[in-house]
Amino acid sequence: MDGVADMGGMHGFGPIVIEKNEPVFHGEWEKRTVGTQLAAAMSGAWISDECRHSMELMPAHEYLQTSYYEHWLFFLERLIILKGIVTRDELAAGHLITSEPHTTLSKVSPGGRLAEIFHTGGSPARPSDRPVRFEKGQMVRTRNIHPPGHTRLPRYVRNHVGTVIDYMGTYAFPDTAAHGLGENPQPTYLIQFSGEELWGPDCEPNSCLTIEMFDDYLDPVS
Amino acid sequence: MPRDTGSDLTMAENHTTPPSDPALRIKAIETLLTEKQIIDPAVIDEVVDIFENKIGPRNGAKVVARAWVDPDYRQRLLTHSVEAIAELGFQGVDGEHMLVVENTPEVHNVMVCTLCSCYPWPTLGLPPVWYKSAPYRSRVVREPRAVLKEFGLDIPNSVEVRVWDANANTRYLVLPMRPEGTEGMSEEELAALVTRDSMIGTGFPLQPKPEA
Repeated sequence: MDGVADMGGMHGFGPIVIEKNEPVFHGEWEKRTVGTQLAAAMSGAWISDECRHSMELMPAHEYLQTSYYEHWLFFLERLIILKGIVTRDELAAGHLITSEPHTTLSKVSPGGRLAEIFHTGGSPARPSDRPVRFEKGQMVRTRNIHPPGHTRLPRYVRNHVGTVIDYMGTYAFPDTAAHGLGENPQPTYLIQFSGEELWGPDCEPNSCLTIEMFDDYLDPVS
Repeated sequence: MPRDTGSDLTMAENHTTPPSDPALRIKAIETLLTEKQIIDPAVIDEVVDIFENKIGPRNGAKVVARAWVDPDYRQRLLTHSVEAIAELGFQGVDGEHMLVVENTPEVHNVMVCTLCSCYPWPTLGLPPVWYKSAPYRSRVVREPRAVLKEFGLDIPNSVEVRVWDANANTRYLVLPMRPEGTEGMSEEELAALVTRDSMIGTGFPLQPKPEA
């Protein structure tokens, strides 16, 4: 979607503010938030693509005026209702009222199992029959698409010509996976764009941008 | 593609009342997920322990130091990044797909996630607030030299600046150049020079302390 989260290249956000010796967590609620999300995700409640798209749906002014982990609270609240885990009344009340106290998910228990899952991770790599259409050194153009839903093709990169740096393998496609429309696994490639291609003649000198593009984002340059 | 604004499914639809305290909100979510037996609250403490004590930039620093002393490891790190990082025991969530990019006298690398906050957790831990913030995400892809200057790095125009946007599966780690005057230092001493920012690309490693 063409929302505020897709902010690459935007002006107007001011200087970068750096906190010296920043702690990992700025308060107990941030710890509970990160821990709750990881625990729920590891039980299979939802996938990262759903979390990311949920955050994108925050009203723009709220997105910009809230802290990062408040964005996580937004997606947690959205997903527990969207997924039918609890009702809106239960979210407001803070406890179950009518929902059954169980699901088909199995929660992760503390101890070795959590560490094991953390250490293994959850790769989105998937086999695919789709042809690998592009090779190293080839020029490609990113598509001028504006999906209303989730996409990992940022606006600042759309409809630009770049060079394939490498082929990265085949992966689940966030644009469909985030909406429960299937994994649609396909090739991804690292595409490099010159600064001038992206930002025009006023660009900074001698700089480039490399980004990982799904096959569905690309067309060959004839 | 569905038109999914989600506005009917969020607390945010009521704009006249401010959202309640984050602590109350997460308490409600945690209670509900516990009652539904989707999470065990004891896991939360373990996750926090992982991020506070078990993973963090010290992991990445060890990877960099190993690459500085061992040219074969350096080659593996650049061409088979995930496997090479795993040789030191670092792998897993948000590090399943990695590309380590080396700084040279001709090229300076810097990484970002413009769309959200993607970051290589096993080697760097959780990202700092500035990395996830609008100023950095918006500006570093468009004016990396100006951003790096704000971080105190003056990259000459003759050095190419390469920005990597971690929008998809691959997470990036910058392999900074080994500082001058570090000959004969142990891996442990070298790792102590590697800063978190030098592995994002917004800093350089520390200089070794002069001999007493």
